[in-house]
Amino acid sequence: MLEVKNIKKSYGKMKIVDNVSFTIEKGESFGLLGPNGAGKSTTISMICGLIPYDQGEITISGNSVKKSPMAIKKKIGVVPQEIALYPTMSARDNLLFWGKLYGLSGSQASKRAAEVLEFVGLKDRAKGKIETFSGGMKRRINIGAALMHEPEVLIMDEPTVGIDPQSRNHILETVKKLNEKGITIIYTSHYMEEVEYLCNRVGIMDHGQIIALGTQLELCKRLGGGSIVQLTVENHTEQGVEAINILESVEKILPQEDGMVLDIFVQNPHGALGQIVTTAVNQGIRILSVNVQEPNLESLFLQLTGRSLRD
Amino acid sequence: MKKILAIAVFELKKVFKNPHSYILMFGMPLLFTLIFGGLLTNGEEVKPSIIVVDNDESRLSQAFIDDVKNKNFMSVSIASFEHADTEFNDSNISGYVQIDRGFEEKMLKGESPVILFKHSPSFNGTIMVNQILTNSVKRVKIGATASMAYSAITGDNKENIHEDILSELVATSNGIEITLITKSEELVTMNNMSARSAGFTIMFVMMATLISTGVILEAKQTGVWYRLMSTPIAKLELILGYLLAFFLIGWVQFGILMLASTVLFDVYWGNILGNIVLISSILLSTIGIGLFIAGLVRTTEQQAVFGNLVIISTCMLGGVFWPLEIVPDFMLQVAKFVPQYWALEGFTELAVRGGTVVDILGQIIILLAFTVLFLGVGLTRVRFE
Repeated sequence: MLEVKNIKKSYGKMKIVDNVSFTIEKGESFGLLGPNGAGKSTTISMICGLIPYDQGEITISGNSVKKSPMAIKKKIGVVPQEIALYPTMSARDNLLFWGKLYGLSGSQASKRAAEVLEFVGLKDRAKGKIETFSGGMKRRINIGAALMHEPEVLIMDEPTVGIDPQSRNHILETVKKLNEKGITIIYTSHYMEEVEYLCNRVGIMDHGQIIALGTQLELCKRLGGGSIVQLTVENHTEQGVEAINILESVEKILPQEDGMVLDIFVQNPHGALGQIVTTAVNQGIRILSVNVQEPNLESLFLQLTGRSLRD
Repeated sequence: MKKILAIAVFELKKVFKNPHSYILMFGMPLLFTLIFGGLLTNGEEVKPSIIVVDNDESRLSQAFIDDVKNKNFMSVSIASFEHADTEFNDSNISGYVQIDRGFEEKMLKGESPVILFKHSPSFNGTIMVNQILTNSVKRVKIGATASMAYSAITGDNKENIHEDILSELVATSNGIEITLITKSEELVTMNNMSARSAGFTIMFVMMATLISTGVILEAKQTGVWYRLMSTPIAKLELILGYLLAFFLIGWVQFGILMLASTVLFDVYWGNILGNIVLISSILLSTIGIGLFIAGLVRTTEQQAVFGNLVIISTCMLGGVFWPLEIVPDFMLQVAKFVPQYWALEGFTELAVRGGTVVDILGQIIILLAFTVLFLGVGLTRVRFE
């Protein structure tokens, strides 16, 4: 359905996207995970035909984004990171406008706007101005605008930024429903939980490159089934960290940048926990809390880059 | 075409759904026109008021006064020297004309009579009054010379012939009057209220257009541009949609302001077709300037500051705030480099001189040249990525 093959994009000497490749099957929900500045938005902008890529090729249903941008644009719906709506106009007026730009006639747009408003749960607020909506409601209309022409592929660029948990859940449910209807989803986020919840397959990006790609199960297996013991400490020394690192049960230790948290990679957390705590106390490290994290995308990213996704 | 219309209609709706638009687009220009155009003044009060002191009290001096009156450019009354001087000193009149004793005698002898015109330093219609007085003296003199020549040839009584000529003169004067009255009435209206009305209409249309053209910058700031570019709309359709929107918004504003100024301030705008062509040209050049400014700045805030600065300063140069007759020659030459000057020239031609489309072709060509220049540069600076 969608194939991204060795695409590259640079601004001057700065490589923004560097040799990125992945494929997405029809009806799949694909997550592009990575910290801010990883190159996710640039990648999806290139898929949408908004930014030309320097090298490589992107095709959707066999059509090249470069050669047939209009054909591609008819098939995709884009949900930008920003609330890309007209605040002084009503929700319905906004939807009608975007529908018409996708080539719908007046009556088609009107019918479709009613369906979309119903779908995003804002039928009662159809005549309300966008500027009077809550952040969550704006986000829902932002998604609705991309659904007006019933796209085959929905590309969502961090659609839950800056909203309350309840609205976020509502949006996640909406995306889930859309995927169940057969719409192919490309979802970018730096929230690991969202991607874990929504996506069958995940690509993890960092510094413009895909550093891991596969299903969640495949990616977690790369951790070797290991876990992370997180020690929140008041103080620590290099000597103390090294003493923990040489323990037999410890694979790797990564102090986080703030120096308050030590991420300790282990295979068997329950067996290693006692040793780690004892060694730390013996080395004069004052422990504030201990947390054992099961293998997930966050821990994979941490293992691959030594940084947290939210850094 | 459907997409172009969709953008144009949506933008039009967006502007007129915002209550603040009405204040800037209609309230402010009408208020400015009222203030700068002269609160509580009407056409008659704008006419220069002149008293004629007739020290000769002859038939020819009376013929001269009648001729001046018939021109209808001024409000003329006859009074004694004392009365005229008092009125002048009290600043109740623009000036007074004094006809010396011996006026008729000098005329009949073929000599040039002396006519004094005393006016206040602030009176700016001196050239016009001098011209009218000179023309009237010539006309009366021609009549007098003709009667004497005819009398010499035919032997008829020159007094009778002169009477006939004077009555013919008045009749001829009345014949011309029809044209002159039409022109003078328009001149009076255009003098102040019309000129300010046209000027402030242009200025506020420019300001509203500036805001309209800012939607592209705004769209970029809010992410709407990103979404627009992700829809299957051609770049040309997008730009034409916006241009049509700016044009329609400008026309609605211009139309309503013209109508309002006609009803409220009795402004006469002249030939309708001429106005349609002129306003369309003004709007195109204004849109060009708006897009040009939008292309130079990065945010709507920068555009508002920079744009309004450009508009107000060029309006000052172009004669929107005050008549260009009061500015030095150098400034008058500079004025020719701003579109407002040519726009006002066009309106003056249509309203004052009774011009048609043909008469304002020069102004239209210059305004369209401004359009090509600014729109051309402005459009090349629109970034679609």
